[in-house]
Amino acid sequence: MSTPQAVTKSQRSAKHAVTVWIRRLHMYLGLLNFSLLIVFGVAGLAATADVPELFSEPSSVASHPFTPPPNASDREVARLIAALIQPNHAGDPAVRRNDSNQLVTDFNSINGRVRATSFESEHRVEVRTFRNSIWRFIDNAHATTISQRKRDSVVLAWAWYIEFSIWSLTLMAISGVWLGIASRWNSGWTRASLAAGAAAFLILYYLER
Amino acid sequence: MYRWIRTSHLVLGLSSALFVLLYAVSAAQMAHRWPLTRQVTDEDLTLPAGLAARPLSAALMDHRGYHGELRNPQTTPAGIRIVIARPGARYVVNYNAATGQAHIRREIFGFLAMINQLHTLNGLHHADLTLNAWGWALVAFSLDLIALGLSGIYLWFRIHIERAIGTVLLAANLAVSAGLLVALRL
Repeated sequence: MSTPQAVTKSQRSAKHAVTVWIRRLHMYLGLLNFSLLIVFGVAGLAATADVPELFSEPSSVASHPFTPPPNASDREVARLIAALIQPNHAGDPAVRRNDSNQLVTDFNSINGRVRATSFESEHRVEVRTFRNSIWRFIDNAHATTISQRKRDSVVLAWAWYIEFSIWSLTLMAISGVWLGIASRWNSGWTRASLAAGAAAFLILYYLER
Repeated sequence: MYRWIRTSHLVLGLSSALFVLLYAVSAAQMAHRWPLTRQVTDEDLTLPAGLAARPLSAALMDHRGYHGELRNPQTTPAGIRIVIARPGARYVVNYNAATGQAHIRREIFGFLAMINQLHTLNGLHHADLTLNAWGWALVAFSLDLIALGLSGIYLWFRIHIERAIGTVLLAANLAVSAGLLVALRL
């Protein structure tokens, strides 16, 4: 029959084994998500710095021969323009008419905007490419999620990596708290940082409420 | 050096754990489109007639206790429509400038809706100081994430028995993310 001391020792040993595995999980997830942590951090700073969405001048202007079918709707014409110019990584286009009644089709992507203006009487489409800065690109990259389904395979692969990272961060936050409490609870730093972080969060949450 | 970085990693991680959870859960909400809830109530008020957008929002903030940021003032046939918003609530005010009658739709956001708003709140130049406070918290949190990533790499590298598997995981992370980011930027 085990003595109370033996039971306590066995419980400590089990807790230690769990902590070792949680530390390993925390570390492995951190290594698999290192670059995403940097992306998320830079995205937060870029959003704060209010970097402009796009450069005001197009990085390239091109013209392609294009005659829309006479019976096509604006949205069908936009789809034909998409097939013609094949803008990288763009989702569904935004279609409108400008003041001169020309069809303007915007293809927004992680890199900025490709704007195609159809000059029907001249049988051509003008394509202006507005790139964004690297900072806005990173901001857009961090906001790419699996909810954006109508994208190409590269965007979807990145979105799934972001998805993996979202759940990894959740696990890392929980496992990090466990590690702090389980292995360094006697340190004043552990208690002070946990209390200060929780207090700061709750005060801010209450103020924003 | 090692002890200092280990303590810094601990302090930064523990102090930001709730912020990490907020951003992660709200990101999951956006990715999976979990439904957002809000409690909506309507109210009619009589205010002084002839107010412009800013005096109108000031009157509501000073005398009715609303707080937030004045957004999107619009002229309507009868007067003005304004929105006073903060992450936890939104007031849509339709004001008749001739009579002073105001119809107010008050929307109080549920937990997921509020953290969704907090996720997208940024900037340091809001009229409402509490919004700026969150903006500063975002700056601190962003720097914190970068510092946690870098210090985590250092701490891992100091554990000799984990170097082999860690190198594989880190190399996989860098190769996949760099490859995808370059492919996205092209």
